[in-house]
Amino acid sequence: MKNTKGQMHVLEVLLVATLFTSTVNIAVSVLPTSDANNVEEYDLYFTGLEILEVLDEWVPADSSIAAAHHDSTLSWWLATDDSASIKQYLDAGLSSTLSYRLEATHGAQTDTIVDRAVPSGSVTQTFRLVWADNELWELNLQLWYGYREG
Amino acid sequence: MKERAQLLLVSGLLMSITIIAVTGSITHSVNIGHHQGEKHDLTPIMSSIENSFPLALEYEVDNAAADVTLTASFDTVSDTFESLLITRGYSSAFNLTSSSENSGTYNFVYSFVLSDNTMTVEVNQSITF
Repeated sequence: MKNTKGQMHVLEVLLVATLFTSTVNIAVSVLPTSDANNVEEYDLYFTGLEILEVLDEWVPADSSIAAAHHDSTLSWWLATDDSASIKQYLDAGLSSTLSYRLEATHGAQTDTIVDRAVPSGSVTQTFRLVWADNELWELNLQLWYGYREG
Repeated sequence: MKERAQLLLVSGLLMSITIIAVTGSITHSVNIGHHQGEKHDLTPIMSSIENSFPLALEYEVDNAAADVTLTASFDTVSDTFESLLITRGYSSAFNLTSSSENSGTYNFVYSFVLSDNTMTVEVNQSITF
């Protein structure tokens, strides 16, 4: 009788331990973690990287322009101060739910290519290094979800 | 009395095993949670380097003083890229394997390592201008 009681105790402890371990395992696997990284920020970051990459890799249709600007439309537009075309490209390429501001630093000079007021909320910064007009340009593209001004 | 002691011993062992299992599970979950939702893609940065680094190097070599070596020109350009990339959270290292000049034609063989602290890639390149 005493032996049976002891065995029952062992089984009870085993059962409780198994149930507890299983519950914790399921909870940590299924429930989202409160400190999970912001997926939307990553999406914005890579959207910015990729849209600038596509423009850099886009070879101008005119072969003489392409040769002069290293087969890069981005380099061509930067070298010729064609901010309007860059703005038009970004406006068309980025979702209408996104707004952005684009700055370019080359040498000791920083130019604002597309000027929009940066909101106080969450803003994602992305960049691209481009060789244009015999200088290394560092483009700084700030992106955020919100209304896009004119 | 002896049986009671054995029972306590077995129960203690089981509880210890349970605690170890739970601790391990939580630690594993926390480690995964630190990287949850992250996206890693070095391709846009690599293409940026592959496009602009050779052009910057060519410009540096063409405009260097006569006594500046090809290695010094390479170091100047790589320092610029490395410092710009580190401010953006990417560590990089450019390593010159060889450089030569023959009748005004320059050849550089080099590699660069690029890392976002999670992913690391090494790219070998050879350029002639």
